[in-house]
Amino acid sequence: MRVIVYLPFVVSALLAIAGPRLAHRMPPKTGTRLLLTAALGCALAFATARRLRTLHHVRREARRLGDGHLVVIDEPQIEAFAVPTRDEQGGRIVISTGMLRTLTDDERRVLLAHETAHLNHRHHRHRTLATLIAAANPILVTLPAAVHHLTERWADEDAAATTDDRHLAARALARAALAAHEEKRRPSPGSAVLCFGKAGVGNRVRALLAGTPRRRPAIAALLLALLTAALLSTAEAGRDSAQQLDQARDHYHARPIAISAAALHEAHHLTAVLEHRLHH
Amino acid sequence: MNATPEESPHGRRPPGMLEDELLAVLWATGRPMTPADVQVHIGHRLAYTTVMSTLTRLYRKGLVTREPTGRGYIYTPAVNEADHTAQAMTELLSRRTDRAGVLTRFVSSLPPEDEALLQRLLRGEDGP
Repeated sequence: MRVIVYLPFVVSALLAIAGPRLAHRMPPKTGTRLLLTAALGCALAFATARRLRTLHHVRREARRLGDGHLVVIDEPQIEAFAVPTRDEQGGRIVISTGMLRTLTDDERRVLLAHETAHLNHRHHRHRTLATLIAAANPILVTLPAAVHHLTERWADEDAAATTDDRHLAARALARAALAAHEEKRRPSPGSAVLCFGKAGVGNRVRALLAGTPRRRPAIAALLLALLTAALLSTAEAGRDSAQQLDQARDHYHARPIAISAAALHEAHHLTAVLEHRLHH
Repeated sequence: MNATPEESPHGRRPPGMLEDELLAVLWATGRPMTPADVQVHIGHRLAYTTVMSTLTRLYRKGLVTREPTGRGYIYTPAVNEADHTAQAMTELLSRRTDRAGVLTRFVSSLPPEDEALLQRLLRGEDGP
């Protein structure tokens, strides 16, 4: 596992160094295809490997957490998180005594239900997928944070359903967040401040207080329409380029007799420029 | 209370959740408790026999220790070496942000503008 996980890093580095040199020695057609395929494969493998390496470290640590589903750390700091594992329990929930003592009995049930939901729905997989997609398409750089927030909301909704009390779920979140916030104000080396973009607690509390989420068929339809439009436009752009190229060729071949050597040269040049532009 | 107190409103309780809940109660109170103490603490949501059998399961798993008292046992949460691993993990989590995507935390950031909202919520619910 350890060696395999590092392989994409090594291959990527090798490709970056040796790529240009290899390009000179290979037949151009094979070279172009081979180099692009290798680079794309490497980019994806690189992102996957980084993620797997993190998961691997976490799992190795988790194996030492014992057999209990809930692991309590006897520490005053306010902390709670879920660790995915591959055994039949699906993971461990780690909570500090500081967190347990901050919450009321009912609020603790919310916390347990929230973390259990993360493990049961394998939310780390959704987050990993979002990370990989963002690596493949850098325009989607905001996607991981959005998915992060959504999986938190998902777990919140699950906890609200398990305890059958949205207000209680909101209160548990508020109390834990305020206590953790208060703790961060005190200078202590053990509690570093961590911020995850827009996955703010305030939005989650507001959503819980706003009532059961409504179905949004209009938004779903809009997303689907946008996706379809994106796919169609890609196909259309490809067809368009081909058409323009054909037109240019037709134009060039239509008057072969009356053309002078200079005009022929000019047409050649224009076609080359056009083709060059279309390809880039 | 209700006739069937151990059933959640949706008639389902994730397996192991009961054990988690009672273990959390023992840790939160920080003092040895009898099954009756635990039952009082959680507001009699569970039947006495359920509390007792759950505590026995926790004892068999080595997650709690117990001492004989009167006709039954009094339970204390067990500290084991897993505690240190968990502590190490928390430290790793604070240092490495990429772990944040793998480990799912209960609460993360709290923007200043949200602080007041949360405080109002708690005051409104818990105030006199």
